[in-house]
Amino acid sequence: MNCKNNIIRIDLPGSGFPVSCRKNQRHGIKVIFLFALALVFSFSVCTASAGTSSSVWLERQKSSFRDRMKKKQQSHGEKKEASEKQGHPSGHPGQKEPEQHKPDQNQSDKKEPEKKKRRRSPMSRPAAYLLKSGNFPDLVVDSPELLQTVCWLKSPDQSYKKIVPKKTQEGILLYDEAFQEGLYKIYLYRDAGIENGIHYRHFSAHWFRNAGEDEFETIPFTEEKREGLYGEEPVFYLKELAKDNENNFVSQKRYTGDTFPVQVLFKGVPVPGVPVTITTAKGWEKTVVTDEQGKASFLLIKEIFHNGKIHKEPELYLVKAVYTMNDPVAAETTETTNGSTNGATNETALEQYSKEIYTATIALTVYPTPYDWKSKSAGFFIFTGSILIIMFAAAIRRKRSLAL
Amino acid sequence: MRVDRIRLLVQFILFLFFMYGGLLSLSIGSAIPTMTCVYAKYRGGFCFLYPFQRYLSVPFSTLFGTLSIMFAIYIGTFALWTIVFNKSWCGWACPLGFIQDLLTIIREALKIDVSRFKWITRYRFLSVKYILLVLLILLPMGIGNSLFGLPEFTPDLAVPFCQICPGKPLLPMFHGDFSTIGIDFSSPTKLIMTTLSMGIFALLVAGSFLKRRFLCSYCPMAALLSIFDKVGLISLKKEGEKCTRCGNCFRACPMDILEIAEERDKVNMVTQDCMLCMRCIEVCPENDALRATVFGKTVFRSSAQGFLQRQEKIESRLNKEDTEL
Repeated sequence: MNCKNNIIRIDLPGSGFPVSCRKNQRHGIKVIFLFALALVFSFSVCTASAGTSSSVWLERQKSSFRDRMKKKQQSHGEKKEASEKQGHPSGHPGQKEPEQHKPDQNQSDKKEPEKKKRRRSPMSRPAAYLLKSGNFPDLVVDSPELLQTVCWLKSPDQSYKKIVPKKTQEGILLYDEAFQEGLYKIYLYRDAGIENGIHYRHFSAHWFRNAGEDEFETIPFTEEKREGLYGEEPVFYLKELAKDNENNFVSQKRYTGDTFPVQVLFKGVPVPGVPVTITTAKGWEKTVVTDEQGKASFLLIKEIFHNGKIHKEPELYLVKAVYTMNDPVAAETTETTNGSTNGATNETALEQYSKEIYTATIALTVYPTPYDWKSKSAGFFIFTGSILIIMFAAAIRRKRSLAL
Repeated sequence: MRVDRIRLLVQFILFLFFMYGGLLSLSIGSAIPTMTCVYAKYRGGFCFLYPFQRYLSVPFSTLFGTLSIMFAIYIGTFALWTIVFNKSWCGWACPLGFIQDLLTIIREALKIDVSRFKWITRYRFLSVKYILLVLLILLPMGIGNSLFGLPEFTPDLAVPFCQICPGKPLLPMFHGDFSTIGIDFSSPTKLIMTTLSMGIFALLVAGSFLKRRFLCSYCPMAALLSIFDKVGLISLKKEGEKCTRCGNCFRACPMDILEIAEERDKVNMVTQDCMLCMRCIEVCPENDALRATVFGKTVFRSSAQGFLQRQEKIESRLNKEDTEL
């Protein structure tokens, strides 16, 4: 199983297509040898279980898709209720009716409290994501390994909800009503397994804002174990430090020419010396090592030039941080004796491996800067020129009328 | 206190609300019958025309199908706002009007004389706002539908009036946003529209130094509001028998409406250009010749006594200035 390229990705809303993961570079004769070996190996693996060697990414769907899925969910719920009212419990048709579905005379007298019908504000949409795997352009939408991805949805009221990927006709779906107003965060975690004594773990983070509704039910905060999270954030967190993104509805778009600062955190602590790589849609990449505060910054370069036609479509850029931890079992033991927990490592702490590799990714949609086709100076000249012409014409007219 | 000073104060407060209300999560919706720009980030509500054009640009089957109730509610909200406050939106609430009034104050301070168009020119230009209104309805309609057998228009023509409205480059500036200033070279349509936008913006600034409320005579929102001006709950009434046709009201009117001085048979004097600034009532020397009514009740009326008091104040101020000179 090739774990190195298993990268969880999140595709921001409105993005066009995913970008393939850049594979680790090999040199010289090793490349040919390993390629041949990998070809044979991957063929055998692929025939056994499709999609195990492919990266995973998440695509937020457009509003039309989300509305369709919402209707499906609602109609499914209504059908379920109707069938239960008719005395058909949910489940397999031949299944024996469970005890709790038998009508109880005492319970039937008690009326169930009516569920309050929730109303959305006009700009609010449910969160619907399709999980996909594969390296661009060969994408798999129904790989079974995707169903094992752990997904946490952090709501604006700071509560956590585990979203279970479901297999649908469209693909592997992550769906939530997202009724609340404010900032949602999605954290993904995937344990990619052990290969050659190295344990690979993949993380990703994504956020979106929702208009939501004014009143919502607050889910009580529970101290449950959250796999892949350390406290309230992913164990290995590649955090965006972009301009006021969490508080601003308007400036969520990123343009070429903008800088994109990130911070790398491991268990909430900034990690210096971690290589962070940005890969553009066309494959250009640049690696920056984090400073003492775990920060790195990139310039979102322009790749598309407008030759004869203006391209306003966004491109997908991928930012990836890889952190190698040597002797993780010793580190885990130290952590456990200190009393802290680590959701990601304690499950496999008993297994023997010499080091762990943590990967965190952010996929960001980058729009071409509008100043490719827009000129402020031209606007300024036309504005001032028009003012001068109007004033000059008015002065001449006044002079003439005075002369008369 | 003079009515125009009270009006300026109200305009200032409403300007702050419309421009920065969003910072306090305050908003009065998107069907406001005044030029509060949708492109201003921290707005406390925005102009009716933007969503109106957006609605019109969808196919008729959708507009009169799934969107019909939303569209009807939206038009109804606009009608309600307009019936309640009538043309006072223009005179007391419009941010663009407020900026033009400020520029007029600067012009007066610089002692630049006001200009007046010839009457023929003025009557010719009266139709401009109706032409703009027809265009802002027809052009978006042509994007989602085939009008008169013509091919569908380019989406670059979406919200055509907002593209040329001077509020688009001007109002976001109050938030430090200058991105709406500029010429868009991405398509010929965009190039024409943005060039027109810059030209009209210049016209607003330069025109305010030539004439009071220069652009309000060509505003399509005024054309829309004039549909309801006879049924508005705020109104301007005239008793023709008491009018001596002295012309004070016409000279004081920022919109140069001649009917207010000439008409003696009409009772409701809210004409297509009137913005209910009440300046005419203030300067009228005849008792009860002009009066402003809300729900049919008189709230402000012209009086000889009030006129004389104001005249005395003006004369004493002029005398003081003369002695200083």
